[in-house]
Amino acid sequence: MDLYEFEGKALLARLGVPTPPGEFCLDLEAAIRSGESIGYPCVVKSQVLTGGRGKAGGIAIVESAGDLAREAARILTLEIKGQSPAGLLVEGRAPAGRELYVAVTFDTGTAGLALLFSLRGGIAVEEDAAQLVRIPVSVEDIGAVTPAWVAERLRGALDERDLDALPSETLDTVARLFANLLSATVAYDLELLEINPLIASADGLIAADAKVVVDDDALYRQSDGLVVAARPLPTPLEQRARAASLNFVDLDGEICLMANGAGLNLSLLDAVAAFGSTPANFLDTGGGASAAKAYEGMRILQDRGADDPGVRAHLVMLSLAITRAREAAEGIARAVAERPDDPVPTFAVVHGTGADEGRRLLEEAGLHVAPDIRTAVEWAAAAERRA
Amino acid sequence: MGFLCTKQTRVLVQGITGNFGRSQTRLMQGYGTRIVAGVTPGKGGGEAEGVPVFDTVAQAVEEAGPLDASVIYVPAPYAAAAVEEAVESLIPLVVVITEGVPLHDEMRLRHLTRSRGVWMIGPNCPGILVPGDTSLGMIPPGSTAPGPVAVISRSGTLTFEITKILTDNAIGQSVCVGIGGDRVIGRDFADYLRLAQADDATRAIILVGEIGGDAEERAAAVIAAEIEKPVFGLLVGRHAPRGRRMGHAGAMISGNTGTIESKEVALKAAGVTLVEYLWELPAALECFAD
Repeated sequence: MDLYEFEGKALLARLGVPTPPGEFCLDLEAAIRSGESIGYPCVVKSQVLTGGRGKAGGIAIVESAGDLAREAARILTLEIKGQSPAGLLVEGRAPAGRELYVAVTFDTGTAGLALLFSLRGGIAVEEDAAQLVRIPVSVEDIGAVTPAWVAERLRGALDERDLDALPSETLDTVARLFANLLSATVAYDLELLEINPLIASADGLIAADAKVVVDDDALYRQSDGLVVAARPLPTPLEQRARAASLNFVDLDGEICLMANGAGLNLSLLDAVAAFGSTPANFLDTGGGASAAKAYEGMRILQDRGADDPGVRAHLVMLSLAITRAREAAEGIARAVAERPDDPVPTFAVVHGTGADEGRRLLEEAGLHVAPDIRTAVEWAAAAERRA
Repeated sequence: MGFLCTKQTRVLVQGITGNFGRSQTRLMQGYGTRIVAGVTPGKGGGEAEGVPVFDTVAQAVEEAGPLDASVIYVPAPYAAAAVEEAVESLIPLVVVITEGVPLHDEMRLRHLTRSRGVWMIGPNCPGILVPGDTSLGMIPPGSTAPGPVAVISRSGTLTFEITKILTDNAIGQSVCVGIGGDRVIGRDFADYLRLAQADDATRAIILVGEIGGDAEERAAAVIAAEIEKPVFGLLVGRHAPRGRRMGHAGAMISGNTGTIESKEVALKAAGVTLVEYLWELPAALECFAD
């Protein structure tokens, strides 16, 4: 899960990393009060979970209360890449100084972590990621990393020009910061902890922005105070899918898909394209599709297709390991029976233990049961909505 | 040289008393897997599916004798502790079926198992099945048949479909293994490719990859350098949207990494024969049919 900037900065504050004084504000009144207490000039920043806020007009420097009221009102209603802000961060202006980039990230290639550093932070990093210094940290080393260890590697990795530009004292402070961020990455189950820019000013280092990604699978043990603001409301279908522990991704095509397993779903997306059609969604019930999950999944497909005249077919693929084909088929058959007027025909493939019984149940419920994926997709791609 | 396990492998099931653990134990027993003990903390002294249940792995080893493998069905928050227990008791093969294990736990477990010489399959995997021999996990035996093709896959249920379409076309398998769908797993494609190269029963290899990460690119490097047997590849998720997590934690394209195109280029350069859709596999592997 991505954290909002203000949540990321609250984490940095916990770690003792300096940030500009700031307050998260849900509405205009709160923003005006924050402006008064922080003083002018200050900065109003949209709290959205996407990059490119500055370019989109989501960040404004304001000189007065009148300024702030006008800009805050504008930014509160400004959508950025389709996202409405969760609120505003009103904060003091960061001091002038060199803009650095520091991050600790999960590193797929080594299945460990990596420290990332650049002397040219800010938006320059996004434009040229190749100039980042990358210091891999193996799982074995994480516990033993000290500021001196980081400093030595930074000195080894930076070229002479960069070393000249970075006072030795600043480099040692950056190394201490890295050691701190590294242990926080482990302690808080983070995938990414990025400060860009980190401002090296006369008063020391100050984090002017924060991007933090928490491992979704670890949220159960990390909810404590990290996540403060409400997340953008998912669509009603996404909410229902979430409540039923289904993984649903809405797409914009012609065939509604459901399968038990991620790889199977991915292969369906590809198969649909092979027959010149497009998927309307991705719906993974997980490896074992219970009757309840299959039922709710089928209902979601029906609702996804009901008001979208572009949807021409539902396609359900079950490949079951345990004797559950009957169970999943029962759930699907029940949902189909409850909607005799569904204008979208449903196609199915059932494989695995007890598949014969599952197929029979679905055929009795009026589904078109195909012997294999290819045939099912071929049928679905040629299907038409009933008038 | 075989594939990690045989009929003789003495198997422990951790999390044996849950619904899932029980039904999976029955399925494996039905295939002839030699399950000699189960562990569920707090359920020691009981029995599940005719198998004695212990509170800890150490007790299981003490009472039931040495164990060659453990299949783990415990819930995600306890999976790391379960693997650590198995490693402490010197079990050389652990199969972690559990989905949703935290990333940092997985990083730790990968390092722990590899440094102790333990082979960890998964997490988030369907396990391994050696057709005609044994099954550790949940691959449906009915869709498999003994033969010369090693199926090595990042996916779970897609693996079942692939073994089925092969079996339906008289192409048997020397092994079917789902290596795990997460970003960090115990053993990579590379490790399994080397086993397949060394295995006498294996004459060809199918590698099933998907979008996200760089596992296929790293596999390609090993194939080019070390694998002499023919390798066939199927990559899924070509038409998935970018930046969305598609079921598997590992299946996500971010920026320019994890794309099908990058994987295709790497595998083709390594001499892998790629098919675009799973139904093209039987024709591509026709010469390995019975």
